[in-house]
Amino acid sequence: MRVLQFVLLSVCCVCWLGCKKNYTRYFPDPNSNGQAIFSNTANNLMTCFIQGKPWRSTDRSSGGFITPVNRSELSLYYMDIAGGSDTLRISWEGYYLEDVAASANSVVVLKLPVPDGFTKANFSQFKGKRLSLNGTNGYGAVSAPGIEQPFCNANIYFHEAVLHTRANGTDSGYISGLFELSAPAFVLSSGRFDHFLGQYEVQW
Amino acid sequence: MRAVTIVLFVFFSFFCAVVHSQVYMNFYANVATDLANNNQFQQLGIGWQSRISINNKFQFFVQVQYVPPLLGREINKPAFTANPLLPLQITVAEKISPTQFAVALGHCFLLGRSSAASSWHLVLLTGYGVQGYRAKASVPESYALLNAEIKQSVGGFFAGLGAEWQYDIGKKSRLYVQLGSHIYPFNPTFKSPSVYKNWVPLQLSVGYGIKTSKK
Repeated sequence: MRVLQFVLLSVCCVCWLGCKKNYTRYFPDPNSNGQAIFSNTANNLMTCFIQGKPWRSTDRSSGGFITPVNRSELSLYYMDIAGGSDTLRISWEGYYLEDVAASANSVVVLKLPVPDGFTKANFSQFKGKRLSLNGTNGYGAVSAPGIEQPFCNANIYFHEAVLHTRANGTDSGYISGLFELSAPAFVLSSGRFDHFLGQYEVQW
Repeated sequence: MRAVTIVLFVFFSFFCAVVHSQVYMNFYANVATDLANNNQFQQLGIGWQSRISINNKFQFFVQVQYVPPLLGREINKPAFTANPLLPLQITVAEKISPTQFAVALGHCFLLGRSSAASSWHLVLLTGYGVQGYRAKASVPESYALLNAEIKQSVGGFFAGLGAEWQYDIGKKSRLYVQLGSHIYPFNPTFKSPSVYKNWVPLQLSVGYGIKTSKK
């Protein structure tokens, strides 16, 4: 009987350890079908319309014992280019709401030019700013089934942009805003993003 | 199973009481203000009661109340756009309309009489209710409303307290006015992104009852 209890307890523990935690909160916008609301509460989500079809980023999750992978929907990557202009790359992985399986691993990217020696503290300069990228000084890009748009014009508004390093060396910050991309015969509209930035999101 | 037993017991008791007592069918309307959110929200509701006078000093009732999302409050919120050809920020009015549905069991105790037809009562009630709100905003195209409220509702048990004045109109009908409030002590709060607390309505009800029993 004790062996049975031990086995049952062990199975429960393994199942518990195997649980994933989802850090993404999706609140559908009642005024826009398929989109999440525009927020600044770290919902860890980006939604937009690509060629009129609703698209969203993947869920942010931390893995359990069985699948110990921390999965993030967002990557903020600072690229220090020697002799050239540095760039800040924001990219999202996601999928079309209407066709999850076929559109998995779609990517939306914003590439922003930043001055040499751009620091995490400088990141807050984006807060409250609206940027227009013309496709050469910076650009947006989309890679999805049937769509390869590497250099799009982009309009971006950063409502929140904060990033700093904690005492323990990990990164912490927030980013939220709106964006839209355009290229000949291509439109990404109503992009909305709202994320907490932690150690798995920031590569600086 | 326990819940079914309780419900059966209550209704069995109720119908036993009906056989031996005076029964009034009451219809009422009420206005309420929400104490939990600094009186930001007003509500307008309607309800039905079946009230049994067990004796001269005690009445027992079953009540159903509905507050449709008629009255609302408009709150100005910022909306933004990434389009450089448009102003960065505009203000949009978002209308929040509270709604409630509740089923309750109540007790009404006689406190005193000011005349043969006029009497004062203490009202206690408990029941199950669902409270929520609807949110509506007309956001111009190209703009996104920041932290828009979404339609929500939460359910739970509540307890209420009130004072009531009754006035008998002849032998077959009565008028009553009730001032009361109820709270949901165990209700989960509205989920983020909502900034509102669960409603705690202070309500003034005016009702009219018709005697349906022969006694």
